Amino acid sequence: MRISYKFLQEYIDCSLSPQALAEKLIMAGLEVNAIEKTGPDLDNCLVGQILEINPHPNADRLTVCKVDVGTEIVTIVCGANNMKAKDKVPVALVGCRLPGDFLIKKSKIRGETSQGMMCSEKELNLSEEASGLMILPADAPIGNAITSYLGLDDIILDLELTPNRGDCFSVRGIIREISALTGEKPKEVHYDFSEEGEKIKDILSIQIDSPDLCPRYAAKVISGVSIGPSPLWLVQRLRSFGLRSVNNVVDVTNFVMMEWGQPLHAFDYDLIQGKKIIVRRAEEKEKLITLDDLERILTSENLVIADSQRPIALAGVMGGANTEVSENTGNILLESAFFDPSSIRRTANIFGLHSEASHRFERGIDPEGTIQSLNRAAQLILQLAGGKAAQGIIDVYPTTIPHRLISLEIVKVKKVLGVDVTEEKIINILQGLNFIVQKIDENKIQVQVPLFRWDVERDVDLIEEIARIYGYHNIPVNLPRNSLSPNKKTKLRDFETKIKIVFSGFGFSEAINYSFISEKVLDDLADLDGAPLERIRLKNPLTEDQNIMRTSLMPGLCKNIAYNLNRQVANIHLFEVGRCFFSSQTTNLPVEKMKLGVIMQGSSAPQSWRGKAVPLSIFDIKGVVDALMETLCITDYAILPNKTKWLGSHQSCTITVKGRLAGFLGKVGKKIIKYFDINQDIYALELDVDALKISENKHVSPLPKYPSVVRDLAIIISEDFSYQELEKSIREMDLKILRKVFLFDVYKGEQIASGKKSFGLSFTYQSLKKTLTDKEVNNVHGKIIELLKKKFQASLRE
Amino acid sequence: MLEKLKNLETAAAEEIFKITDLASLEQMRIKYLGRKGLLSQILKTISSLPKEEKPKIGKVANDCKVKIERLWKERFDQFKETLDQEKDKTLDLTLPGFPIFVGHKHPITQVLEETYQIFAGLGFEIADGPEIEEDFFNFEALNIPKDHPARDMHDTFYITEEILLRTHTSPVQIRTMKSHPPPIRIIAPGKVYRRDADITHTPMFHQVEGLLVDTETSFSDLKGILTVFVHQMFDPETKLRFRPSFFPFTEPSAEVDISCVLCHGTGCRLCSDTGWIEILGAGMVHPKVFESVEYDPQKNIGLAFGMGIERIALLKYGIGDIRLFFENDLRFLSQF
Repeated sequence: MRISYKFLQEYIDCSLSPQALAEKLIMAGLEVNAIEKTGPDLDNCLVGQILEINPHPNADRLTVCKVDVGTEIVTIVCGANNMKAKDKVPVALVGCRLPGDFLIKKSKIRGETSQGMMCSEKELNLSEEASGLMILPADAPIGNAITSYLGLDDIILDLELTPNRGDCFSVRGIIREISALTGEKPKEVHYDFSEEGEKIKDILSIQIDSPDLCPRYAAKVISGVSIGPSPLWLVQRLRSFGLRSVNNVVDVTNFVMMEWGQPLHAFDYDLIQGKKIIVRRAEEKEKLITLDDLERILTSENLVIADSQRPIALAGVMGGANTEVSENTGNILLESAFFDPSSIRRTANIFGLHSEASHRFERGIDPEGTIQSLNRAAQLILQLAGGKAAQGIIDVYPTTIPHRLISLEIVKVKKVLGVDVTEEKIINILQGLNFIVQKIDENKIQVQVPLFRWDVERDVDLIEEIARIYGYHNIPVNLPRNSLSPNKKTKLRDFETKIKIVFSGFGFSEAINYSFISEKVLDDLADLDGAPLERIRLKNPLTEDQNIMRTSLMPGLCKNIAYNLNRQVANIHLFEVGRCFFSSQTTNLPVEKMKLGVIMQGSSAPQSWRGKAVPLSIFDIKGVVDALMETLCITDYAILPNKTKWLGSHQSCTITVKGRLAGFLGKVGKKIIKYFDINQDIYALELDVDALKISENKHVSPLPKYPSVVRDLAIIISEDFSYQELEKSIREMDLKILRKVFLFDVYKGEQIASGKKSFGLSFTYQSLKKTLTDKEVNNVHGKIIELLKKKFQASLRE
Repeated sequence: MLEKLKNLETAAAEEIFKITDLASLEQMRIKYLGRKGLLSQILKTISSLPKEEKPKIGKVANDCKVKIERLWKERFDQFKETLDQEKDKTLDLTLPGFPIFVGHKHPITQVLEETYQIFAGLGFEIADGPEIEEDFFNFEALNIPKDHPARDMHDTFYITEEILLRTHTSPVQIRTMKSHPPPIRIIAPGKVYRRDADITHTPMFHQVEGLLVDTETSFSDLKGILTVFVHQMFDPETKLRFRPSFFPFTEPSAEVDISCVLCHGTGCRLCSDTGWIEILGAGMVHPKVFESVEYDPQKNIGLAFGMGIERIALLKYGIGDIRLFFENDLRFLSQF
């Protein structure tokens, strides 16, 4: 809602500066988005009258004009041709700075002196109209500053109203607020006009078939109007509200809507068939062409205004083309009604028709402003478009809307706000806001709510009214004195926090990606998507890139790799902790699983002058999992070579924790990296966070007191055996004094027969009870060698 | 024999102290202690001694060997230390250190964790709820019925008519109250979604919602809690401004501004010359919300607040474009 500072002075005496007024409104809950000047500063731009237009001696297209600007008569060379002698125009004199920082100087144009410039609307930044000079009304006073004449020196407060304050969508509404805040009473208004036409009852009847959707409908008829342009003051007023001028009648209805908050509609009376208005629900599939020339197919949910034959307006939303006021209109019917807010909202939403009118109706207007607004409009139309008003008004208002009565306990104000506001102050504030207050007893008042305040339903609503006028800033700052309760932080966040600490400690930076991804990714990489076919699609995605809920963190992280590589960032080690979404047959809502995703590109350690950096391999990401498990004290897990979704490469493993599948790791396959435009090897890992939340009771083992013995062994075995098989077999021997098996070398190559590989193994032996003798160690070590020889046909390497 | 050993020892000691370089020291070692050295030569003659003298002479000879070796070692260590020091002197200590990869938590995580800490200090627990929500929890139970204009404030992503991406973390309030009796003191952090994208909006962002329900609390407490939060999150000099606003689930409702972090209130581009920056919404829990979770609105009173974490991070770190948070550019992330 935009309101002119000058204009509001006509309704209330407000001595506050625009800034101070804005501050007051903001602190009362009416947010002021901006304080704007209506026009440019235009010093030395005056109303002038053209006295003579003479041809330019040296140029066919130019004229030399003599212009009276009040104090002098100036000569101006002009290129426009839409003016004639006696026309009044804006004249920018020497020294005037036009919008666009265009300074007017005395100059010679093709040999003729020019002492200024006559301006078009565009040159004054009033509109895009640049085809000719702006011709001012004949009564424009010569010599007046153009800014004050055109109202360009005004200030507009641009208010952003919250949806509960429908009552402030009008000048009157804002004046009421200003009055409550300053104590100044609004100025009284009277709308006097004479009714010289026929009796309205003889020329019109109104019938409301759906009083639930239209509690009140009133109309007035004015005959013999002449449709034409509006006077400057009205055009300016509308402009200050951000509205365009259409014609005098339509402009009046819009103006009164802005003034009173009551949307009005003017029908061409002669086009109403049967001289009858019926307010009813539309029939199924009934059609109406609205003012925007679109055919609307209606349902019984839509309320229409109809004549005896057909719908003529979509009630409260938009008029019909069949009864539109045009240049030829002579007789008009003015409608002023109150419609059910949610019905209007539904209709406006269905048709995507959000008008100034529907905006107000759906927030609730003042059902008691119906007649006053109608009279105001009639008065202005008679004044601007002539004609005769029919005698009387038809006002169908079968059931008066009752006023809400709310009782308020004075102590509750303190209970809610935490500050003592005196009863006297409370009553003053409420009365200032047009509430009618009655004392019931010591501690209780009864408050009658004005009908325009649809938002005030309960005692707490009254308390908010009291608080905002009292001033939130006057409420003291305290801390709750409630008893302390122990803070049981939820495990989930602790765990998440822990994982984030661990990974940033491991040198990974945290990524956060959108939870939605492109369905196209899943389609294109369909064989890699292990998620159930039933995807969770957004009904109204913002873009097609974000139309489906993710089931893995991989697509986002792959994109991050590409994004960084494109910006020449290397060694991209990222992790993300976030939810993935899976449709579910058994629950109403999809299942949300917290996942940990990790992605790596580049080398395993940063490059330095020590030597060449080692490129990453799958064993780096495997090491990351081992390290994670160690930090989380999880010992019962396994990483097994297995094909997995979302990798599509031969280097892939599944991760199980306590025997249950928890995630995967590996090298990201060619198809995926190509899809994301990545031309480097990347390694990834994804784990279910819940699977890691196993509470293993922490149990500390005593530290060994006796020394350990280390024996190294180099063996050659067939490539067919995996390290894991080998280690597992040794572990299964259950040798009490074997503390650790460590693989320190793997070799394949020239020194060894093809099809064979060499392992360098280191065994640590230690007893908790005594110092081991050579003999004891040799005995156990020998058993291991024996097993390796027997089971794996290993040969010892010297 | 004894005499010879004694002399050898003295001669060795004298010679050692005269030596000035490692090479001569080595020569000296070979001369005395080498396989064909002076000591060995003496020892060779032991075998020719009478049997009863052998042990005695042998012990003296050994003592002599140990003594010379010790002297030699001491001298050697002296040289070695000087040498090491020389080496250290020539090491270019300005060579860069061997780098390790450094990871960074996302700035949003950092602000969130700071928020948890501040509110943990005020006795608030963390509560959680789903990101894909039912219309009931996201809107209806929060006093935002189907045809309410307040729905315009939330550009909602829908999955079906009734299932949507939560537009705020307020549904966690409802879930918590439905499953726990009062008193309640929670914060609900998490991702939320709105259909909006420009320099100040992303379709996904993070919110922290707070809720306190008890038999007694007031707007004045709300001001206190949020003042503590702002002073800890920003700086204790930051001013707060509470002004009336509208949220369907609180009454009275407030919008909270802080004095501009850039100009401290004198007016600049960041605050559009107002000196104030809006950072959160708050209010007293609406009785209709209590009714929808079957709490008695006569007995219970509550306060609630909600804030956008990206907005706080933008202000805290002076970031101009909210989209940076979700591009995951390492050049950005590694600044935190």
